[in-house]
Amino acid sequence: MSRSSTRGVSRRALLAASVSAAAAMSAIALMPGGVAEALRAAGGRPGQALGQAIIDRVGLRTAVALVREHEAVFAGASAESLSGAIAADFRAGRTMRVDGWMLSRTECAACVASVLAT
Amino acid sequence: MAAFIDALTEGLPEEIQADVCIVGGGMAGHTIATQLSNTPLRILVLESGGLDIEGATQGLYLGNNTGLRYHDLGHCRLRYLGGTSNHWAGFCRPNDEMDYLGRPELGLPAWPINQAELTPYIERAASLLGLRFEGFDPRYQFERAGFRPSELMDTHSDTLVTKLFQIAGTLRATELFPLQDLPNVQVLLHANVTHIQLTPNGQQVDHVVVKTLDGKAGRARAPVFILATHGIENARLMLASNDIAPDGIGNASDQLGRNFMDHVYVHCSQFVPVAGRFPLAYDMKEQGARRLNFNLGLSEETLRREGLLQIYCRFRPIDLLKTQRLAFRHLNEGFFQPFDTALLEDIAAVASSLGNSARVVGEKLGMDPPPPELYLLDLRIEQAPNPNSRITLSEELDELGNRRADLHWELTELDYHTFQRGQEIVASELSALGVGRFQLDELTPEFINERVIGHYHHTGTTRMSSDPGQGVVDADCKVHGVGNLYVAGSSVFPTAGYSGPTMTLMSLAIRLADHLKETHV
Ligand SMILES: Cc1cc2nc3c(=O)[nH]c(=O)nc-3n(C[C@H](O)[C@H](O)[C@H](O)COP(=O)(O)OP(=O)(O)OC[C@H]3O[C@@H](n4cnc5c(N)ncnc54)[C@H](O)[C@@H]3O)c2cc1C
Repeated sequence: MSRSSTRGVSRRALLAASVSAAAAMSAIALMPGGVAEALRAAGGRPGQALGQAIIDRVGLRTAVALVREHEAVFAGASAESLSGAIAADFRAGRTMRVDGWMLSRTECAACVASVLAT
Repeated sequence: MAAFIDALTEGLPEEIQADVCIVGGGMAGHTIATQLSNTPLRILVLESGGLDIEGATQGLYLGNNTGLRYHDLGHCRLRYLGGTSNHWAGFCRPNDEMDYLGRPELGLPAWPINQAELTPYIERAASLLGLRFEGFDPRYQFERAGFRPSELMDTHSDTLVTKLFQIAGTLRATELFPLQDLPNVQVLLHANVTHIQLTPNGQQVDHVVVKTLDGKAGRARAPVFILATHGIENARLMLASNDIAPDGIGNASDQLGRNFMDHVYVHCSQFVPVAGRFPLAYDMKEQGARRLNFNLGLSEETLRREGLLQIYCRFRPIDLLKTQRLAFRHLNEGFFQPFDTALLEDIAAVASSLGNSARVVGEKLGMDPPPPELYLLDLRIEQAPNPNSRITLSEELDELGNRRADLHWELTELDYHTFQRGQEIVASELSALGVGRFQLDELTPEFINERVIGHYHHTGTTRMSSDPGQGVVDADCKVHGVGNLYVAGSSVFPTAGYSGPTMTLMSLAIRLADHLKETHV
């Protein structure tokens, strides 16, 4: 993350986001469907690329807030609980559009978290 | 009675007398004539065209369009015996109960007939079309078609419902109802009705004026007249017959010609199914051979909660080139849980270049093609009635000296909103169910205006209402204020619902015939 991109975001917020990022990444690692493997094989880049796209679009401050909003979801998350959270997001309209793709906010938060964690 | 007389070659009698005069020999006209065939009534069908399409007659349908781009009025219906049934695709489904009830909060008027009253006639219409009424139940057809009942989306979701169309086999009215076999029915071909002449007090039709394109003229008299010239022409003829009723026949409430509606659709967005989780029953390509069409619509509860018009979604497979397909499959391994922008971009790149497909090649080689990996959404909605969408008379005259029809067509805020919100709900729910993911187009009014297509289902221009202040015809399809003029066809629908109009207009035609048997036999 470049110096300038952290402007306006407190160290505390970043730290908190990084902590939940670690949790998010471990939750992702548990997800079914080979995603975890795919992400690992790619050195964590794909999720990060999406996360970066989200940060570029909404700004770092909002992106960090998005991650913090999901701390509770990520803490101790299992594949089931994460899928449940994603489904609940879709049903409640908690979605974001990235290049037109409709994504749940939980998914987006996890991707942003993976950027913040590195 | 001789069955068919051609007014061009055999002459047009100066005056013809019948018991029931049906203007228009399309699906509605054929249905009524057939239903009245086992009565002592002498039925006369006045048909503008001949036995096949002819340029000069078809040209009488030309008109001008304003507002949103709509089909050319000269092409979107057919003017010869059998009418537009010579063209239709045969998709049939009864309306839902809510379609008849009206939704005042959305400005949708109730039908003066409810579902229970109409169902016996729908059953008869379905049977005439060779369809089983119970066959409209998606559960029943799912199993019969070899799909697993557990794949019916309704079993997993309170939001989505499966809306099933049966596709009729025999389509042409002339094949379904061969009028030449009916002894009490006479069909006069090339007989254009150009004017409906009311009695001086305006309360009865005295006669209709008939003209041929080679200059002959005559008149037809009958105790009962039925206008069955389809959604645009019914209104045109009633507006043009304005010598006694200056605003047109049945137009005391200024409803005549207004509320033109169609079922409209937009192709948009992309759906990427998760392998094995999207039931192929909903794949448009899978359905044709079974003469069934499964669509995903929104449940009544969802429509009411969200304040939406009827909307449903079809899934059109996008065929990919073989190389693209391989690339896509490779990408798809890592895709589904969408943590990868690069992958998403690749998918978009793959999807943007379409052409001959491995699927098509596979089919040609007789191989079992793999299920498609990408679908285009085909979103379809009913239109809200809008008085500004209307038929008016043009200043231009046709070859017979009659003012042509002009169509001004618009979408309402509610139409746009239904497209936008409906897409969002379908995408959210299927995503939540883990069935697939969506790359959604932003359905702005500009986007919709650019792509929207009407389905050739012309409805609403002579709407039905028990209240003469709200409609043109009453619950028996009789024109308010005129004792012996009835209207048949989808122009009487107060709302469009989302089902194809033809089976419903046939059921109303059967009902009208029953009514005439009671009142005139
Ligand atoms: C491409 C296409 C696909 C369609 N697919 C479907 C579908 O899948 N499902 C569905 O439900 N519906 C479908 N429809 C709509 C369907 O065709 C119509 O609902 C149906 O044919 C209307 O029947 P009608 O008798 O009211 O009108 P028509 O069948 O159009 O008959 C009107 C008749 O009146 C005659 N006429 C007109 N003016 C005069 C005049 N002044 N004097 C004398 N005669 C006159 C015409 O020549 C014609 O024979 C489709 C239409 C099109 C064009």
